[in-house]
Amino acid sequence: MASIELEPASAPSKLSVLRAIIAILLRAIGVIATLMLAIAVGLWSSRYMVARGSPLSVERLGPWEQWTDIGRESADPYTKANMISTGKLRISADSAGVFEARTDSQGARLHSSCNYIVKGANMQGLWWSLAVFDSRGKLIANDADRYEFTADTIALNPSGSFLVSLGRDARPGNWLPTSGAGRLVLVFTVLDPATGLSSEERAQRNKHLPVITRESCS
Amino acid sequence: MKFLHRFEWRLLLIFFLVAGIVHLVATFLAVNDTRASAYTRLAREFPNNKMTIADAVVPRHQPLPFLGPDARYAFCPFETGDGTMRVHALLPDLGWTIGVYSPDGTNLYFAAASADRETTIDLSIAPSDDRFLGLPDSGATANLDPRQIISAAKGLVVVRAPDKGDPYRSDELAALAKASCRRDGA
Repeated sequence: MASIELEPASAPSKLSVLRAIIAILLRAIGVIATLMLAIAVGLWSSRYMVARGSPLSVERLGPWEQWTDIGRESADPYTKANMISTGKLRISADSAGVFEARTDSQGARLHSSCNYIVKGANMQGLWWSLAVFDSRGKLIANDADRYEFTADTIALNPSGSFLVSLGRDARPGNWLPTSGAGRLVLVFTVLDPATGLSSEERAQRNKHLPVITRESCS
Repeated sequence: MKFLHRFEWRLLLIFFLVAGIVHLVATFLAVNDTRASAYTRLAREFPNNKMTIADAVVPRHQPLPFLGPDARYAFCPFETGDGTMRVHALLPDLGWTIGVYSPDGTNLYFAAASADRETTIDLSIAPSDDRFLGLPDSGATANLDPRQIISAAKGLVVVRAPDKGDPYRSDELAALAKASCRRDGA
Protein backbone atom coordinates (compact mmCIF):
# COMPACT_ATOMS: atom_id res chain seq x y z
CA MET A 1 0.00 0.00 0.00
CA ALA A 2 1.41 3.31 -1.05
CA SER A 3 1.66 6.02 1.48
CA ILE A 4 1.79 9.72 1.00
CA GLU A 5 3.90 11.83 3.23
CA LEU A 6 2.40 15.20 4.00
CA GLU A 7 4.72 18.00 4.88
CA PRO A 8 3.53 20.13 7.77
CA ALA A 9 2.12 23.48 6.52
CA SER A 10 4.75 26.13 6.94
CA ALA A 11 3.75 29.37 8.67
CA PRO A 12 4.01 32.48 6.43
CA SER A 13 7.33 34.10 6.80
CA LYS A 14 7.66 37.43 8.53
CA LEU A 15 8.80 38.96 5.27
CA SER A 16 5.67 38.00 3.37
CA VAL A 17 3.45 39.33 6.16
CA LEU A 18 5.36 42.58 6.09
CA ARG A 19 4.98 42.76 2.30
CA ALA A 20 1.23 42.23 2.59
CA ILE A 21 0.92 44.98 5.23
CA ILE A 22 2.98 47.40 3.12
CA ALA A 23 0.83 46.62 0.08
CA ILE A 24 -2.37 47.34 2.04
CA LEU A 25 -0.88 50.54 3.45
CA LEU A 26 0.26 51.72 0.00
CA ARG A 27 -3.20 51.01 -1.38
CA ALA A 28 -4.82 52.95 1.46
CA ILE A 29 -2.42 55.85 0.98
CA GLY A 30 -3.18 55.80 -2.77
CA VAL A 31 -6.93 55.94 -2.15
CA ILE A 32 -6.61 58.71 0.47
CA ALA A 33 -4.25 60.74 -1.76
CA THR A 34 -6.65 60.32 -4.69
CA LEU A 35 -9.59 61.48 -2.56
CA MET A 36 -7.68 64.49 -1.22
CA LEU A 37 -6.48 65.44 -4.69
CA ALA A 38 -10.02 65.06 -6.06
CA ILE A 39 -11.44 67.27 -3.30
CA ALA A 40 -8.75 69.90 -3.92
CA VAL A 41 -9.31 69.85 -7.69
CA GLY A 42 -13.11 70.00 -7.23
CA LEU A 43 -12.86 72.99 -4.87
CA TRP A 44 -10.24 74.81 -6.93
CA SER A 45 -12.07 74.34 -10.25
CA SER A 46 -15.32 75.58 -8.71
CA ARG A 47 -13.66 78.63 -7.15
CA TYR A 48 -11.82 79.44 -10.39
CA MET A 49 -14.92 79.13 -12.56
CA VAL A 50 -16.89 81.29 -10.12
CA ALA A 51 -14.19 83.95 -9.77
CA ARG A 52 -12.83 84.13 -13.32
CA GLY A 53 -15.36 82.27 -15.44
CA SER A 54 -14.76 79.97 -18.36
CA PRO A 55 -15.65 80.06 -22.05
CA LEU A 56 -19.04 78.70 -20.97
CA SER A 57 -19.90 81.86 -19.04
CA VAL A 58 -17.42 84.59 -20.01
CA GLU A 59 -16.86 86.13 -23.42
CA ARG A 60 -13.36 87.50 -24.03
CA LEU A 61 -13.01 90.42 -26.42
CA GLY A 62 -9.34 91.38 -26.52
CA PRO A 63 -8.46 92.40 -22.96
CA TRP A 64 -12.14 92.77 -22.04
CA GLU A 65 -14.20 90.10 -20.33
CA GLN A 66 -17.96 90.02 -20.15
CA TRP A 67 -20.14 87.58 -18.21
CA THR A 68 -22.51 86.82 -21.06
CA ASP A 69 -25.64 86.06 -19.01
CA ILE A 70 -25.07 88.39 -16.08
CA GLY A 71 -28.26 89.61 -14.44
CA ARG A 72 -30.43 87.32 -16.53
CA GLU A 73 -32.91 84.89 -15.04
CA SER A 74 -31.32 82.19 -17.18
CA ALA A 75 -27.77 82.87 -15.92
CA ASP A 76 -25.68 79.77 -15.22
CA PRO A 77 -24.71 78.94 -11.60
CA TYR A 78 -21.15 80.25 -12.08
CA THR A 79 -22.41 83.68 -13.17
CA LYS A 80 -24.89 83.82 -10.27
CA ALA A 81 -22.24 82.68 -7.78
CA ASN A 82 -19.82 85.31 -9.11
CA MET A 83 -22.39 88.08 -8.58
CA ILE A 84 -23.30 86.82 -5.10
CA SER A 85 -19.81 86.12 -3.79
CA THR A 86 -18.21 89.32 -5.08
CA GLY A 87 -21.06 91.62 -4.01
CA LYS A 88 -21.19 93.24 -7.45
CA LEU A 89 -24.37 94.90 -8.66
CA ARG A 90 -24.47 94.64 -12.41
CA ILE A 91 -26.95 95.75 -15.04
CA SER A 92 -28.34 92.79 -16.95
CA ALA A 93 -26.61 91.80 -20.18
CA ASP A 94 -30.01 92.46 -21.82
CA SER A 95 -29.71 96.18 -21.03
CA ALA A 96 -26.01 97.05 -21.01
CA GLY A 97 -22.56 95.78 -21.80
CA VAL A 98 -20.34 95.63 -18.72
CA PHE A 99 -16.75 94.75 -19.57
CA GLU A 100 -13.82 94.21 -17.22
CA ALA A 101 -10.15 94.32 -18.22
CA ARG A 102 -7.35 92.94 -16.07
CA THR A 103 -4.74 93.00 -18.81
CA ASP A 104 -3.71 95.40 -21.55
CA SER A 105 -4.37 94.60 -25.20
CA GLN A 106 -1.01 92.75 -25.36
CA GLY A 107 -2.06 90.46 -22.51
CA ALA A 108 0.18 91.89 -19.73
CA ARG A 109 -1.39 92.38 -16.30
CA LEU A 110 -2.56 95.96 -15.64
CA HIS A 111 -0.48 97.43 -12.83
CA SER A 112 -0.20 100.82 -11.20
CA SER A 113 3.56 100.87 -11.78
CA CYS A 114 2.87 101.32 -15.52
CA ASN A 115 1.34 104.06 -17.63
CA TYR A 116 -1.40 103.15 -20.11
CA ILE A 117 -3.33 104.80 -22.91
CA VAL A 118 -6.93 103.72 -23.48
CA LYS A 119 -8.23 104.57 -26.94
CA GLY A 120 -11.96 104.32 -27.50
CA ALA A 121 -14.04 104.68 -30.63
CA ASN A 122 -17.04 106.95 -31.09
CA MET A 123 -19.80 105.19 -29.15
CA GLN A 124 -22.51 106.56 -31.47
CA GLY A 125 -24.60 108.37 -28.84
CA LEU A 126 -24.61 105.51 -26.33
CA TRP A 127 -24.00 106.42 -22.71
CA TRP A 128 -20.81 104.84 -21.38
CA SER A 129 -18.39 105.02 -18.47
CA LEU A 130 -14.82 103.92 -17.85
CA ALA A 131 -13.77 103.44 -14.23
CA VAL A 132 -10.57 102.15 -12.65
CA PHE A 133 -10.43 100.01 -9.49
CA ASP A 134 -7.85 97.99 -7.63
CA SER A 135 -8.03 94.20 -7.91
CA ARG A 136 -10.54 93.97 -5.03
CA GLY A 137 -12.93 96.44 -6.64
CA LYS A 138 -12.01 99.39 -4.44
CA LEU A 139 -11.63 102.89 -5.82
CA ILE A 140 -8.10 104.28 -5.85
CA ALA A 141 -7.85 107.28 -3.54
CA ASN A 142 -6.26 110.33 -5.18
CA ASP A 143 -6.00 114.07 -4.56
CA ALA A 144 -7.81 114.88 -7.80
CA ASP A 145 -10.91 112.89 -6.71
CA ARG A 146 -10.94 111.35 -10.14
CA TYR A 147 -12.04 107.75 -10.52
CA GLU A 148 -13.81 107.51 -13.87
CA PHE A 149 -14.84 109.22 -17.07
CA THR A 150 -18.25 109.02 -18.66
CA ALA A 151 -19.81 110.08 -21.94
CA ASP A 152 -20.86 113.25 -20.05
CA THR A 153 -17.56 114.15 -18.41
CA ILE A 154 -14.84 113.18 -20.86
CA ALA A 155 -13.17 115.54 -23.34
CA LEU A 156 -13.84 113.87 -26.69
CA ASN A 157 -11.75 114.13 -29.83
CA PRO A 158 -13.40 115.99 -32.74
CA SER A 159 -14.21 112.60 -34.31
CA GLY A 160 -16.13 111.55 -31.19
CA SER A 161 -13.44 109.05 -30.19
CA PHE A 162 -11.72 109.37 -26.83
CA LEU A 163 -8.36 108.89 -25.21
CA VAL A 164 -7.77 108.26 -21.49
CA SER A 165 -4.37 108.02 -19.84
CA LEU A 166 -3.82 105.89 -16.72
CA GLY A 167 -0.79 106.48 -14.55
CA ARG A 168 0.67 107.76 -11.33
CA ASP A 169 1.75 111.17 -12.54
CA ALA A 170 -0.67 113.90 -13.58
CA ARG A 171 -1.08 114.42 -17.32
CA PRO A 172 -3.03 116.89 -19.39
CA GLY A 173 -6.31 115.65 -20.85
CA ASN A 174 -8.32 112.71 -19.59
CA TRP A 175 -6.07 111.35 -16.86
CA LEU A 176 -7.08 108.69 -14.31
CA PRO A 177 -4.70 108.40 -11.34
CA THR A 178 -3.66 104.85 -10.37
CA SER A 179 -1.01 105.59 -7.77
CA GLY A 180 -0.06 102.75 -5.43
CA ALA A 181 -3.02 100.51 -6.26
CA GLY A 182 -1.04 97.47 -7.43
CA ARG A 183 -3.03 95.36 -9.87
CA LEU A 184 -5.76 97.28 -11.67
CA VAL A 185 -9.17 96.46 -13.08
CA LEU A 186 -10.82 98.66 -15.69
CA VAL A 187 -14.61 98.53 -15.99
CA PHE A 188 -16.20 99.80 -19.20
CA THR A 189 -19.99 100.07 -19.11
CA VAL A 190 -22.12 100.88 -22.17
CA LEU A 191 -25.85 101.33 -21.70
CA ASP A 192 -28.12 100.06 -24.43
CA PRO A 193 -30.47 102.74 -25.79
CA ALA A 194 -33.96 102.85 -24.26
CA THR A 195 -35.26 101.06 -27.35
CA GLY A 196 -32.82 98.18 -26.82
CA LEU A 197 -30.27 96.57 -29.12
CA SER A 198 -30.55 93.52 -31.32
CA SER A 199 -27.93 90.82 -30.88
CA GLU A 200 -26.34 91.92 -34.18
CA GLU A 201 -26.12 95.53 -32.96
CA ARG A 202 -24.70 94.29 -29.68
CA ALA A 203 -22.04 92.26 -31.50
CA GLN A 204 -21.20 95.32 -33.60
CA ARG A 205 -20.86 97.43 -30.44
CA ASN A 206 -18.55 94.83 -28.92
CA LYS A 207 -16.19 95.13 -31.87
CA HIS A 208 -15.44 98.74 -30.91
CA LEU A 209 -14.28 98.29 -27.34
CA PRO A 210 -11.35 100.46 -26.26
CA VAL A 211 -7.77 99.38 -26.89
CA ILE A 212 -5.44 99.44 -23.85
CA THR A 213 -1.79 100.12 -24.65
CA ARG A 214 1.05 100.08 -22.15
CA GLU A 215 3.35 103.08 -22.56
CA SER A 216 6.02 102.59 -19.93
CA CYS A 217 6.68 101.02 -16.54
CA SER A 218 8.87 102.12 -13.68
CA MET B 1 1.61 48.11 -21.78
CA LYS B 2 3.01 46.98 -18.45
CA PHE B 3 2.24 50.45 -17.06
CA LEU B 4 -1.36 50.21 -18.30
CA HIS B 5 -1.75 46.84 -16.58
CA ARG B 6 -0.48 48.23 -13.31
CA PHE B 7 -2.43 51.51 -13.52
CA GLU B 8 -5.28 51.74 -11.06
CA TRP B 9 -8.20 52.67 -13.32
CA ARG B 10 -10.58 52.47 -10.39
CA LEU B 11 -8.63 55.22 -8.64
CA LEU B 12 -8.90 57.42 -11.74
CA LEU B 13 -12.64 56.81 -11.82
CA ILE B 14 -12.91 57.65 -8.11
CA PHE B 15 -10.86 60.80 -8.71
CA PHE B 16 -13.17 62.16 -11.44
CA LEU B 17 -16.31 61.14 -9.56
CA VAL B 18 -15.27 62.78 -6.29
CA ALA B 19 -13.84 65.90 -8.01
CA GLY B 20 -17.10 66.30 -9.96
CA ILE B 21 -19.27 65.93 -6.88
CA VAL B 22 -17.13 68.37 -4.86
CA HIS B 23 -17.18 70.86 -7.77
CA LEU B 24 -20.98 70.74 -8.00
CA VAL B 25 -21.51 70.98 -4.24
CA ALA B 26 -19.04 73.91 -3.89
CA THR B 27 -20.70 75.79 -6.75
CA PHE B 28 -24.16 75.13 -5.32
CA LEU B 29 -23.05 76.38 -1.89
CA ALA B 30 -21.52 79.51 -3.48
CA VAL B 31 -24.82 80.29 -5.24
CA ASN B 32 -26.72 79.95 -1.99
CA ASP B 33 -24.29 81.75 0.30
CA THR B 34 -25.69 85.28 0.11
CA ARG B 35 -23.75 86.73 3.06
CA ALA B 36 -21.56 88.88 0.78
CA SER B 37 -24.15 89.65 -1.89
CA ALA B 38 -25.00 93.19 -2.94
CA TYR B 39 -28.53 92.76 -1.59
CA THR B 40 -27.32 91.64 1.86
CA ARG B 41 -24.80 94.49 2.11
CA LEU B 42 -27.26 97.18 1.03
CA ALA B 43 -30.16 95.79 3.09
CA ARG B 44 -27.90 96.16 6.16
CA GLU B 45 -27.08 99.76 5.32
CA PHE B 46 -30.37 101.18 4.03
CA PRO B 47 -33.88 101.09 5.51
CA ASN B 48 -36.38 98.61 4.15
CA ASN B 49 -39.21 99.76 1.87
CA LYS B 50 -37.89 103.30 1.63
CA MET B 51 -35.95 104.99 -1.18
CA THR B 52 -32.75 106.45 0.25
CA ILE B 53 -30.22 108.51 -1.68
CA ALA B 54 -26.76 107.16 -0.93
CA ASP B 55 -23.78 109.41 -0.34
CA ALA B 56 -21.51 109.93 -3.33
CA VAL B 57 -19.37 106.89 -4.02
CA VAL B 58 -15.80 107.73 -2.97
CA PRO B 59 -12.92 105.56 -1.66
CA ARG B 60 -13.91 106.00 2.00
CA HIS B 61 -17.56 105.29 1.27
CA GLN B 62 -18.01 102.57 -1.29
CA PRO B 63 -21.00 100.43 -0.39
CA LEU B 64 -20.21 97.74 -2.98
CA PRO B 65 -17.07 96.61 -4.80
CA PHE B 66 -16.82 97.74 -8.42
CA LEU B 67 -19.71 100.16 -7.86
CA GLY B 68 -19.23 102.90 -10.43
CA PRO B 69 -18.50 106.31 -8.92
CA ASP B 70 -19.90 107.80 -12.14
CA ALA B 71 -23.38 108.17 -10.66
CA ARG B 72 -25.42 108.97 -7.59
CA TYR B 73 -27.62 106.13 -6.41
CA ALA B 74 -30.91 105.75 -4.58
CA PHE B 75 -31.48 102.33 -3.02
CA CYS B 76 -34.63 100.70 -1.71
CA PRO B 77 -34.36 97.20 -0.26
CA PHE B 78 -37.91 95.87 -0.22
CA GLU B 79 -39.99 93.01 1.11
CA THR B 80 -43.49 92.46 -0.19
CA GLY B 81 -44.58 90.09 2.59
CA ASP B 82 -47.31 92.46 3.77
CA GLY B 83 -48.46 93.80 0.43
CA THR B 84 -47.62 95.37 -2.88
CA MET B 85 -44.85 97.95 -3.21
CA ARG B 86 -45.23 101.03 -5.41
CA VAL B 87 -42.11 102.41 -7.06
CA HIS B 88 -41.99 105.77 -8.80
CA ALA B 89 -39.02 107.40 -10.50
CA LEU B 90 -38.20 110.04 -13.07
CA LEU B 91 -35.47 109.35 -15.59
CA PRO B 92 -34.84 112.79 -17.08
CA ASP B 93 -31.78 112.24 -19.23
CA LEU B 94 -29.51 109.75 -20.96
CA GLY B 95 -27.66 107.54 -18.50
CA TRP B 96 -30.44 107.51 -15.87
CA THR B 97 -31.65 104.01 -15.10
CA ILE B 98 -33.86 102.12 -12.71
CA GLY B 99 -33.40 98.46 -11.93
CA VAL B 100 -35.16 95.96 -9.70
CA TYR B 101 -32.90 93.16 -8.54
CA SER B 102 -33.65 89.90 -6.79
CA PRO B 103 -31.39 88.99 -3.82
CA ASP B 104 -29.19 86.87 -6.12
CA GLY B 105 -28.57 89.83 -8.46
CA THR B 106 -31.00 88.83 -11.22
CA ASN B 107 -32.51 91.88 -12.98
CA LEU B 108 -36.26 91.57 -12.56
CA TYR B 109 -36.92 94.91 -14.25
CA PHE B 110 -34.75 97.50 -15.91
CA ALA B 111 -35.43 100.77 -17.70
CA ALA B 112 -33.04 103.36 -19.12
CA ALA B 113 -33.88 106.96 -19.98
CA SER B 114 -34.31 107.96 -23.56
CA ALA B 115 -32.11 110.74 -24.96
CA ASP B 116 -34.95 112.93 -26.19
CA ARG B 117 -37.58 112.86 -23.43
CA GLU B 118 -38.09 112.40 -19.72
CA THR B 119 -39.28 108.93 -18.77
CA THR B 120 -41.60 108.35 -15.83
CA ILE B 121 -41.62 104.96 -14.22
CA ASP B 122 -44.55 103.74 -12.14
CA LEU B 123 -44.03 100.21 -11.09
CA SER B 124 -45.74 97.82 -8.72
CA ILE B 125 -43.94 94.96 -7.06
CA ALA B 126 -46.40 92.33 -5.94
CA PRO B 127 -45.68 89.47 -3.56
CA SER B 128 -44.33 86.40 -5.32
CA ASP B 129 -46.86 84.48 -7.40
CA ASP B 130 -48.25 82.03 -4.86
CA ARG B 131 -48.90 84.68 -2.21
CA PHE B 132 -50.20 87.07 -4.82
CA LEU B 133 -52.76 84.56 -6.01
CA GLY B 134 -53.68 83.87 -2.41
CA LEU B 135 -54.98 87.42 -1.83
CA PRO B 136 -57.88 87.81 -4.28
CA ASP B 137 -60.04 89.93 -2.00
CA SER B 138 -57.50 92.52 -0.95
CA GLY B 139 -58.27 94.70 -3.95
CA ALA B 140 -54.76 96.07 -3.73
CA THR B 141 -53.82 95.01 -7.25
CA ALA B 142 -57.09 95.59 -9.04
CA ASN B 143 -56.20 98.97 -10.50
CA LEU B 144 -52.61 98.21 -11.52
CA ASP B 145 -51.40 98.38 -15.09
CA PRO B 146 -50.43 94.76 -15.81
CA ARG B 147 -47.49 95.87 -17.93
CA GLN B 148 -45.88 97.51 -14.89
CA ILE B 149 -46.32 94.77 -12.32
CA ILE B 150 -43.53 92.49 -11.36
CA SER B 151 -43.57 89.78 -8.79
CA ALA B 152 -40.92 89.37 -6.09
CA ALA B 153 -40.87 88.48 -2.39
CA LYS B 154 -37.85 90.66 -1.71
CA GLY B 155 -35.10 92.45 -3.53
CA LEU B 156 -33.61 95.81 -4.28
CA VAL B 157 -34.67 98.86 -6.31
CA VAL B 158 -31.77 100.95 -7.61
CA VAL B 159 -32.17 104.34 -9.31
CA ARG B 160 -28.97 105.55 -10.91
CA ALA B 161 -28.34 109.20 -11.82
CA PRO B 162 -25.15 109.80 -13.81
CA ASP B 163 -22.98 112.47 -12.21
CA LYS B 164 -22.25 115.15 -14.80
CA GLY B 165 -20.27 117.31 -12.40
CA ASP B 166 -20.81 120.17 -9.95
CA PRO B 167 -22.95 122.50 -12.11
CA TYR B 168 -25.60 119.81 -12.62
CA ARG B 169 -25.48 118.10 -9.23
CA SER B 170 -28.31 119.95 -7.46
CA ASP B 171 -30.69 119.31 -10.37
CA GLU B 172 -29.70 115.66 -10.49
CA LEU B 173 -30.23 115.24 -6.75
CA ALA B 174 -33.60 117.02 -6.96
CA ALA B 175 -34.73 114.60 -9.69
CA LEU B 176 -33.33 111.65 -7.75
CA ALA B 177 -35.17 112.78 -4.61
CA LYS B 178 -38.46 112.35 -6.50
CA ALA B 179 -37.87 108.61 -6.65
CA SER B 180 -40.00 106.76 -4.14
CA CYS B 181 -40.62 103.24 -2.96
CA ARG B 182 -43.45 102.61 -0.52
CA ARG B 183 -45.99 100.07 0.47
CA ASP B 184 -49.25 100.37 -1.42
CA GLY B 185 -51.66 102.59 0.51
CA ALA B 186 -49.00 103.97 2.83
